[in-house]
Amino acid sequence: MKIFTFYLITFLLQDKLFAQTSIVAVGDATIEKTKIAFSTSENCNCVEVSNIVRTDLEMYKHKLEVFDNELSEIQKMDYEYILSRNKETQAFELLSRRGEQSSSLTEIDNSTKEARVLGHEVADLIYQNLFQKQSIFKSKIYFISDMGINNKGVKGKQLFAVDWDGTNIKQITNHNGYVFSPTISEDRQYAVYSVISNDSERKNVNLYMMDLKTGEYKVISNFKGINSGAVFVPGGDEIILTLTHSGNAELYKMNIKTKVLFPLTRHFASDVDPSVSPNGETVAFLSTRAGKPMIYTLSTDKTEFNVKRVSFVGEYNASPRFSPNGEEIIFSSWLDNRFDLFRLSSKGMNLVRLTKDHGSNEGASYSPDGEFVIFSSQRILSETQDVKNLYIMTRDGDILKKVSSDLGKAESPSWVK
Amino acid sequence: MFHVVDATNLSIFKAKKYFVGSVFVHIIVINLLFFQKKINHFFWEESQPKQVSEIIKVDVVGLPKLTLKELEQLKRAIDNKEEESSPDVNVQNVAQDEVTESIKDVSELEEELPDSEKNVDSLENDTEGAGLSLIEKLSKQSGAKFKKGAKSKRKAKKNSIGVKKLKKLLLEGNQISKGSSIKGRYQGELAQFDQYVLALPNLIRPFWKLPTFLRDGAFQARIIIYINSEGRVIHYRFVSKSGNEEFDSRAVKSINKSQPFPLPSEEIKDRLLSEGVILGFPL
Repeated sequence: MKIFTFYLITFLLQDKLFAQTSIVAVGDATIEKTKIAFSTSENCNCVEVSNIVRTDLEMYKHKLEVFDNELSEIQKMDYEYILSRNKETQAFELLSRRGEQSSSLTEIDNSTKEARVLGHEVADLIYQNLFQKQSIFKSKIYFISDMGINNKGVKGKQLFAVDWDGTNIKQITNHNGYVFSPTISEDRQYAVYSVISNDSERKNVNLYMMDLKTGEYKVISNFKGINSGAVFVPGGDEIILTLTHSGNAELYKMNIKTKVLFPLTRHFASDVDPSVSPNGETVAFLSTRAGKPMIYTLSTDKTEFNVKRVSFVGEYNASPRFSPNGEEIIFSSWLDNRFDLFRLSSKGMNLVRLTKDHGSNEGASYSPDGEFVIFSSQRILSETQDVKNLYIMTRDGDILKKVSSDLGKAESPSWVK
Repeated sequence: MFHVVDATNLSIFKAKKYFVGSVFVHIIVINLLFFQKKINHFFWEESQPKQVSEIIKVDVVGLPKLTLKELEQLKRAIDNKEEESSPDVNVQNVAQDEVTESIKDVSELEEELPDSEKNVDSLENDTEGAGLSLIEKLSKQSGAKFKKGAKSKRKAKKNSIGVKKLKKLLLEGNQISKGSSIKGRYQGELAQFDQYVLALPNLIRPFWKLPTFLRDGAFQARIIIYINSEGRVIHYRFVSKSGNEEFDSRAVKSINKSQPFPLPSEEIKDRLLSEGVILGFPL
């Protein structure tokens, strides 16, 4: 009887004994902004540099709050960091309120550099101190513009470079024709682009590569038809490009040195506009396999390997570009008679709209740190006039600034370290 | 001293013995069959907590008309309205509000909206602050309702319709329907305990904040909390730590600040206290 009672109790308590604890996800935290205060106004000879530093840091307003106060006021307030300048050494110092960090930004040689360059360097060092990664403050933007005139005096579209802040504009190419679809290597040494020649005898769209240090260039792909849309594969001597010599637009991987081709797609539909993930293993591209141009991804190991469709909506999707961490793809899509920018995860989830109401927006490219997006926006002024400028926004669609008004009709931006 | 047992008594004794033995064996067999899954899980598999989550299936039927920023503005407006409309927190209502009913199509949504809300496309004609203007319109129309809403069930129902409309707007471009998952269950099927547990993240999230330098760290911590009948956490311990002290302390702080939680009902208060709930930061 005792054993029976024991079993009965055990039976009744079974559920308690084997109860399973429940778990719920609280979700992602709200990110608090880091507060940083300036006390550099006491030093009269650094106002210009300070202003540049401050303007730079305000670009990251989604994570930084910048204040400008007298040191006496700052002491009373609740700032996490204080940027000041040592009166004796003239070095910028970043002081932490919490006491565990105190950085003297002394490695900056402020005697030989112009204020703009020095300001960007100081801002970059501050940013690195705060977030342990590089900022955009020393980055460059490459783009195509119609403001170029070649050495024959003929106007066309050429490749240009500009500092991220819109200054220091330089014409890079000088072709007799229209340069398009540029891409820059990670180390900023090479540019690859396609050219539609003005010369009536050379109708083929060839692919060129330029050494940005020497200015020398050469044709690296001149198969019959179109050779375009090239992108560098990270950490190697390979590019992925679109070729039409087979009679259909297909993606190929090409070794720049040996010129050996490896087909990535083999499909009756057109496959164009590739973008390579940071690890070089996945390519996002446009394909008409579903009828309308949709975004697909594939692995770079074999032909037609691991092909996945990631976009399922939109009349005309264009220019998919991976984020630097490879987790997102930004692209433009035709909606309400214009292009606007959209973003989704590289697995095809979380589709969101980023731009609206401000002209036709396309050709987006992430900043090297993935915090910002640059894109070209076309605004129609009249039946015969339009402008096309480059704009910078946060990755969540908060438009921050026009890069410059002096870039002509600027398009196809590419943002590099 | 010897007891003499005759044959009849012996057979009765044996029969009783076999009967009791048989009953025990049957109980054991039934137990084993009935709880086989749990016993297997207990002995041979690593104990895993049960994840409580709602599920919905989102069929994307078009590109979203509203931008991410506009959606965030609307979400804030919804949160504010919900706070105004629920002076005394009722867990069941909070949880059920989370359920987004299936939307047949966008035209159905437009039919439900008042005239001033109908033409979502008109937002596009606004050059600046389209989302804000929508919020203002909605606020004006439903603001008064929300203030009086808690007084009667009828009025409360009207308010909840307002919130639902806003939520439907958030999902414009997507068609929502019931999904299928082995992990989640529909709200209607959720037990009272699960409903309570599901409401906790919404109460904690407003206080769950991290400094920017921890944003890209991909940290994860899990904390088990035991809630008493007054809705207060009487004990907590880390099931797993993130490896970053600041992250862990912020997680604990968010729990502390969000107390007291709603009063648990009689049916679930013992379970909350003895079994506890694991909170995943962020998962």
